[in-house]
Amino acid sequence: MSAQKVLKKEENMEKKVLNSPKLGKFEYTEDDLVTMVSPILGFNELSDFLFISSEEFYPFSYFQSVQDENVTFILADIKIFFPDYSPKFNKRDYKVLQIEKDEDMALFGLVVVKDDPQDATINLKAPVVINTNKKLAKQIILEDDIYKVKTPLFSK
Amino acid sequence: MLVLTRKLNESLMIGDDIEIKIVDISSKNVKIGIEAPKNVQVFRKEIYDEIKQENIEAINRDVVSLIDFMKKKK
Repeated sequence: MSAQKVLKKEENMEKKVLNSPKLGKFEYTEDDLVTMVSPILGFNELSDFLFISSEEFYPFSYFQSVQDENVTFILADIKIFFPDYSPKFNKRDYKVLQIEKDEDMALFGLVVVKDDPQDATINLKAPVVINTNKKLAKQIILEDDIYKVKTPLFSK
Repeated sequence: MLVLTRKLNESLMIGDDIEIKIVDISSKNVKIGIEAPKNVQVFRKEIYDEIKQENIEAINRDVVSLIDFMKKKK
């Protein structure tokens, strides 16, 4: 391994500290980052996120911006709530996300929690697709209208 | 806003790599073809606005109430 490569590796392992008002203080390294290949609409400046999951809040995860610690999303594993969910993506999306096989791909929905948790909605029209292998993500806006932006998360 | 007149099958270029072509015209609709690099996202404006608004509403919420609700439901 060249000296430069070793240096880079060490650089990547450098611990950084994030102080999120929502989640508190924690450490991460560059290797933990999930990079948006195109921005989450409304958050054009933010490309680097941490995907934070825990048994404690499964099947939800947090998606925490490292560039703006005040931006924390809630992601829900869509297949847990909607097992039949099977959106059609463009070839282009697979390409930009560098997805080669289905196992690389995880589908999440951004959740909006309301005062009454029963009223929570999940955005199935614009899922956040993550290449878990390459740590690349994109919010893909589906062209067909089967899936709604404000889909109730829980059946009533 | 820049306003240009184009005929059917005519195009216009935005910069060097985005081409907008008028593909079909009827009395109320215009069909537009777009050729753009794959890092350029193209959206219908209403959808763009709707998703953006929803994303902004989604930040800084808490999962605790959801987890509690799911436990109660079981």
